Amino acid sequence: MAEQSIAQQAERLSQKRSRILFVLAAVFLSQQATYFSSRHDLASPVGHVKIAAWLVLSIVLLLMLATGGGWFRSTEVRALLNDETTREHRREGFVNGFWAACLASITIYAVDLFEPVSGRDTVHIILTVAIATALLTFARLERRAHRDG
Amino acid sequence: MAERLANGLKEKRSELGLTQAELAERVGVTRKTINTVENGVFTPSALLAIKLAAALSVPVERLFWIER
Repeated sequence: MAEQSIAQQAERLSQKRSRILFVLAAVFLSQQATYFSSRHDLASPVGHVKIAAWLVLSIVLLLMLATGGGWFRSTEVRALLNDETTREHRREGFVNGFWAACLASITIYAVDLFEPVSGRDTVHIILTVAIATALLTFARLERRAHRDG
Repeated sequence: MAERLANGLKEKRSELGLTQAELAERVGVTRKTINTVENGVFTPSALLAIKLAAALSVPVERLFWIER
């Protein structure tokens, strides 16, 4: 197979990233169903593993959003993977994530007036909503930019 | 009334027989960026606008203009 140029590599990786982000968002959100369905058992070792898994995935996704990914690629490929439109799409993702976190906070505050919500659940919900919203916004904009040719 | 930055990037690029990928490589961005600029989805920075104009050998004000 002929060796790809830096531009071709970046193009291919950029398209792959937009697809992977949707999958990661789906995995991340489906993980929440398991967490909330068994959150009374979280003091057990299995519960600790679940929390750790959520925390690790949250940190990985945050790092991906903050840097644009492509961590094991050359500087040139990473620069192309993180070009002007990508930075703009990530910025829009962060803005939407911020508003989603604010709305989630307001909702939890209102719910807590009637039904107490624990500190851990509050952090969990706000962080999940913020990351998922930012991720989906970024992925959607990237997909659209690749598609409209 | 809203103002937007319109451009003649697609026409000029086609005139020179360049593909989006070739122009992208000349200015150091991905094809996706050229695509979004051409479609008016993305407004490029002054830096990118000048690079695009230089790559297509046209004055920047002939490639980009304000549309009202």
